[in-house]
Amino acid sequence: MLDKVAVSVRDLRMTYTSTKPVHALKGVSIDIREGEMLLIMGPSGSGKSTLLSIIGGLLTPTAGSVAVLGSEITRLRRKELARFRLRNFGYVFQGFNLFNAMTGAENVELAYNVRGIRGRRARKASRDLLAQLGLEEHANRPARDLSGGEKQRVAIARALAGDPCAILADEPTSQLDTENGAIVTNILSDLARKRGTTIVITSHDDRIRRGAEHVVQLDDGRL
Amino acid sequence: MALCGIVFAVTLLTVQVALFSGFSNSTTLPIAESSADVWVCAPEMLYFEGTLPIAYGTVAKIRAIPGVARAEALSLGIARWRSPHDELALGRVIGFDPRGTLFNPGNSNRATVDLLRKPYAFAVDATQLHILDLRAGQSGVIGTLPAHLAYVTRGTQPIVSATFFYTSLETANAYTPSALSFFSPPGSAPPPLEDTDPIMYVLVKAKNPAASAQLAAAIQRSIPHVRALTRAQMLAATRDYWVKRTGIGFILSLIALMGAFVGIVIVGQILYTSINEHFQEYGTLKAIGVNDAYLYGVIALQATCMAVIGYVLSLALTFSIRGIAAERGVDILITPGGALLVLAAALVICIGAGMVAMQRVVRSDPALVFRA
Repeated sequence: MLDKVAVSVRDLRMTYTSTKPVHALKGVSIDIREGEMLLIMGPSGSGKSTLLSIIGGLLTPTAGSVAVLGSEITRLRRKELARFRLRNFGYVFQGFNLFNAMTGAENVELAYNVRGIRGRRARKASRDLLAQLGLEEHANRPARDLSGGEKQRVAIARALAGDPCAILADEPTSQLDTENGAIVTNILSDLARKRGTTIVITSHDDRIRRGAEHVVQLDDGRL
Repeated sequence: MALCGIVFAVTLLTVQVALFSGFSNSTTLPIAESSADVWVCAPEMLYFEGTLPIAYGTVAKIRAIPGVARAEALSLGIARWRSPHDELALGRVIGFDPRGTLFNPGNSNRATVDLLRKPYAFAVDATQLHILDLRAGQSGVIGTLPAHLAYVTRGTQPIVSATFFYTSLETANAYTPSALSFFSPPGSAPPPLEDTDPIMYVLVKAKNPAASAQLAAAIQRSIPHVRALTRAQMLAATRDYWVKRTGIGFILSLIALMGAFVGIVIVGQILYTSINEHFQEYGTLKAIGVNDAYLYGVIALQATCMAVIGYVLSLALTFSIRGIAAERGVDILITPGGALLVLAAALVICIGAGMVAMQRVVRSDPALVFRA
């Protein structure tokens, strides 16, 4: 499983031109294999989030290419890219980005709903996912009442809805204490190992290193 | 908070539309109260109060026309009122036949209307009592003649008109300045009308109300120098005059439009703020790959819920202030058409404002969620 390339990044360059040009990525190339957990480390401003955004189809690079499962996503139009993201990626955010007025289960259900899975099927699938992440008792609590660790586990469950080929996580442990940080790291590591999901994480949290099979360092836009 | 703002904006719109409807309805009250199918008047008639006299003898001529079931006179004149405490007011004296069936202000019962058969007795709308400085059972003076309050009506006074004094044809004829030749010795009753006495309208009941347009045409052919209008035409002429030709109609239309405009701005601002507050959530959906139609659908659903809830609450609020306004003679009228119009406007305003506010989310960079 680990031999197949899931994401292929070639000579990626990104220049922001709002005031004076900022070269965020200066020719990044990397292959990420299926079921691999890749950790991209680097200081603030090194280009980690830019790289993750381009890999995840959220940002179009100035030059270079990204191919996911053989499809070059950097050539897709806006709408096609949105469809591609919906089918193939799950996202985990630093600030959780849950819908606070909804329960944990409803947050996950929504992720199924937007993929066309509705009603009882979506409810059952979301509860199963939450149970797998040890959250069955918290499924009916509003997201705003959950602890940071619980919120991030709900966010992971939401990212898993629709069975994506890759999960992209931006600083997933930065707002968590040591214990919860370890739980989240283990979950992500297990997903890669047991489900074969490709995991790409950006972080400057050394605790994640233990779970990652592949760690790269990004400095000043270069690996 | 957002709902409060929407309720305020929709209430503003509802009250303005209801005020406009009430005003429009109020201008035609005397016509709406009559059961006449055809109104006969001078050719110069512009609206109910803006007309010239015709001779009382016209009533008899109209009664002779085939298809006429009943014809009654209605007079209208200007009178000066002096209250029991010598306070002055100008008013309109409306004379009709208390024994007739075609005009009955306030739909009073027969025994009550019969009170107007007494000389110098009149009825007036309850909202006018304080203007006339008058209480039940008191008397004043109209012109130089005594005037006794016989009974009080409700919902019979147009907001745009001077006080209507409802009385018998004979008393009205005596009160109005056109009857200068009439001299009333103290205690004597006014004499019956003669064929040459002035009246303003002949109210006609058709044998076949469905053919009132044909009857109006027949009357106009038979009697020279008069104009015959169906009830609908008479209503339209009076309403159009007040709504389209006077400053009052223009001002109320403008206020209703301003209400809609202010509503749009308030609701737009509220929804824009609300969407901004949830920008991160919408941005997350966009990052996940949700298409624009889904995002618009979410906001349309939210805006529809807000519009409907805001509309129901605004109707309740408007109904609650209706009674207070009615006591002051201001009619806040919520017609089914007006209610539907406000609902449609509330939906258009809320959904439209939501769509505009959603533009920021739709046009936003999905990568923003990784930079938050």
